[in-house]
Amino acid sequence: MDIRYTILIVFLGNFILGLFIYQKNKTKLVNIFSALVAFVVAFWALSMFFYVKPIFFNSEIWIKIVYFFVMMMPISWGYFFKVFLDLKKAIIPHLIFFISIILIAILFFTDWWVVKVVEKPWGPETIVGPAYFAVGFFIILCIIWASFHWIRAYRIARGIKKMQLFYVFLGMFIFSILATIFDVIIPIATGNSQFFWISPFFASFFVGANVYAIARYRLMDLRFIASKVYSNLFIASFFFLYFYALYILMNFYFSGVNFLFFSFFLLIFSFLFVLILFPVLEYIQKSSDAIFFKGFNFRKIISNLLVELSQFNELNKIYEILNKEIQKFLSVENVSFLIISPIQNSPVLKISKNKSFGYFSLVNKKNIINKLQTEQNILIYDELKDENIKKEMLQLKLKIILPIVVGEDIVGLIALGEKENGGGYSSGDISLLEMISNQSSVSIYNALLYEELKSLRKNLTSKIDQQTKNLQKKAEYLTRLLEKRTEFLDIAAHQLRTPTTVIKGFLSMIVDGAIQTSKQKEEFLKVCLKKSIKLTEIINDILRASELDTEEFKLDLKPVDVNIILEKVYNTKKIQQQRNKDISFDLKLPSKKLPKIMSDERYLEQILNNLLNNAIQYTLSGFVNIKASTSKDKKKVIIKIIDSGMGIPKKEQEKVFEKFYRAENAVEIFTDGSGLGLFVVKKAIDLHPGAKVYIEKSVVNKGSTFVLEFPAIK
Amino acid sequence: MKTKKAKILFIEDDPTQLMMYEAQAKIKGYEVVSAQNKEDALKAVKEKKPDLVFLDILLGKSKGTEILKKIKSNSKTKKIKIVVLTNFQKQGLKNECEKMGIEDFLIKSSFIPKEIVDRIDKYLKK
Repeated sequence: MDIRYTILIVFLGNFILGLFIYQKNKTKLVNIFSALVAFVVAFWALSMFFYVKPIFFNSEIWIKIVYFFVMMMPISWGYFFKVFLDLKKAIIPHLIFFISIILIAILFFTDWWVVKVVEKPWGPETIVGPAYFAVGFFIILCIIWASFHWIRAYRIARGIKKMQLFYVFLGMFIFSILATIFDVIIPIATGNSQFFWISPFFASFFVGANVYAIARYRLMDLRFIASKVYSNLFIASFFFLYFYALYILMNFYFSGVNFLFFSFFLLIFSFLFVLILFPVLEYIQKSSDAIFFKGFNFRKIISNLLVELSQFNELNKIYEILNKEIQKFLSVENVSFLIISPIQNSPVLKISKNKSFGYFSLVNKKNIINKLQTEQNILIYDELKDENIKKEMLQLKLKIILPIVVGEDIVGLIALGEKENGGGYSSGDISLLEMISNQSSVSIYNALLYEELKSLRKNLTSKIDQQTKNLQKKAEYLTRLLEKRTEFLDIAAHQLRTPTTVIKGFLSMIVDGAIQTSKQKEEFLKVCLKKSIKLTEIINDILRASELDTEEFKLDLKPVDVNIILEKVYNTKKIQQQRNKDISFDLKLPSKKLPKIMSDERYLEQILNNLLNNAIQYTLSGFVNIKASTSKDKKKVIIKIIDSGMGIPKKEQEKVFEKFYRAENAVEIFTDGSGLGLFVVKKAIDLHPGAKVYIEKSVVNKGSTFVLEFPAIK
Repeated sequence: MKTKKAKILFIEDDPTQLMMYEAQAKIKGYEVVSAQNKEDALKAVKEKKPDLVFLDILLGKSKGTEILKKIKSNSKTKKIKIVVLTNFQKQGLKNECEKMGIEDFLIKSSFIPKEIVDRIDKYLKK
């Protein structure tokens, strides 16, 4: 069988590749032109076969068909480059098309290219004319044009595109060098072209590279293939050499040796074979890994990773390890982790080692989130068909998003940017990443739970502390309240007992006849009356104070005519003071009637009475005046109680409104003050919206001015 | 009466009440002295050497308990018999006074002046 028949394999191979790339995406121009290139090469090989073995027609017709397909190559290739490099404005491919058509016309209608075909011992030999060299020159120009654009595109390309360009160029390079050798150099040097049928084999490199580049890198991994070829080659060589050695030994040393000895020898030889086979295989495998997967020993990486991960249960540490490992083996520019807490179902931690990359957020990337949630699968930018997701990944400058899945939950993401050298990710990289993600997911999940537990414990402790503090505060408050109440009762009891003691004592003495003179008796009875009045006041004060001291208490607020109340209070006091000749007592009302105010009559009387009682009690001589007026803006009613009494020391002025507080100098002259009068005033005024009570002026031994302000009703 | 010469000191800041108790005690024939504040009270104790003291607790600025402490801590006056006579009562006060050594703790409003003065002999006999 003629070895040249093998060219049919080239035909078949390229034809299938062409179909494959066309099937992959029938609408994409780059696939169509790539398929065209493959078909052209296929038919070039087929016609080459018929040129060598002209089953029908003759070799002269077939050589023209061969050259026709050769000329089809720059055409299809030119357009392939145009779409592959996205050269929208390039007209060169059209020019190539035009020139190729002219050259094809020259091929078929003149003998400037194919002069004639002669029979040689090895088969047909074509004598070429001057046009052949013009064609060679033309093809060289085409290659220069393509290379020029290729270099430009390669420099700016990143990622998968760069890799594709590299493969395309590699194919073109191998093809053009070898084709030149077999189609030009050898025929010229030896004077015969008997090997030029081999060229289509080299074209297969080109087609293969194109198809590989377009059909995406995950189709196969060159490095993986290379390593397989390498190791299989060595294994085959080993087998061959071993048994070849056996064959030589048998021929030269054991011919004629007796059968038993020969069998024994074979046994030893077989035993030896088994003994050395596995070390040899392992050595081959190791050397293959060393060459093709430098630093890429999966088993080693994963086992190291597991050992490292098992040592830590803190998230930060785990990310550090993963980051280190991934950067080490993939040399990736940006490694980021987004960890989603399985419990809070929200991103809890974002880590990125690379400062220029920063943190990323998936908050607005709903396409990515949807895709991840529904498929829980790796997202590879170069493989994605959904343009929306691609856009979102581009915004994040991410090439790969790998979910870390535990059970049915995504607990985190490993996000990778571009590789440092701008290259794409191979299937080896992807499977390594997937393995890392699988192995680390449990560690991450454990770490998350650990963190959760830690924060829970922290929260719980601080909550308990807080509650304890609150309880302590409440207990303190209640204790204070209880103390105040007890104190209130103790003092109230004292205040009630004092006038009672006097009344009871004096009356008992009168009844017992201990008092002789009627004058003294009258004096005693007067005291009793005074103390009875005082007792009533104290009882009122205590009741009011107790009432006002509860938080729920509210006044029954109604419009009140201040003029009437003032007159009423004044007149009552006036009668009581009639015999006190040392004090003048006056009520000064404005000529125009005072506007009404919102108040509770009973309490308003109480307020005025308490203030007046104080003024009278602590004024030994001089005057006590009530002066009422409307403010200039007519929005307020102002009532002033002015006395010329003993005054309140400055430092005590603020305290006089407190319960049971009595100024230091007050106790010197008036011993049975309840200490509740001003407290009741203050509390009652506070229950009037917008009203206030304050000491306008108070000078010791000169007198005090207490002011009441109420909002006027319009 | 045997106890006629007994000297009674009223320490009381309210002049009305003071007048009332003084009058009652005088009727019974006791020698009566009085003081309305701490300084006067201590002075009276020292100089007049009363046989019995009626002591109020709330005395304006000063406290009866302080006077009690002063009298009882002075070796010259600690033998003087003291009865607390007050309308002020609070938890622990009676106990506090008893510890310092008093004859009795009386709430004014529970008695009429005669009942109080009638007890004087009993206190003096103790």
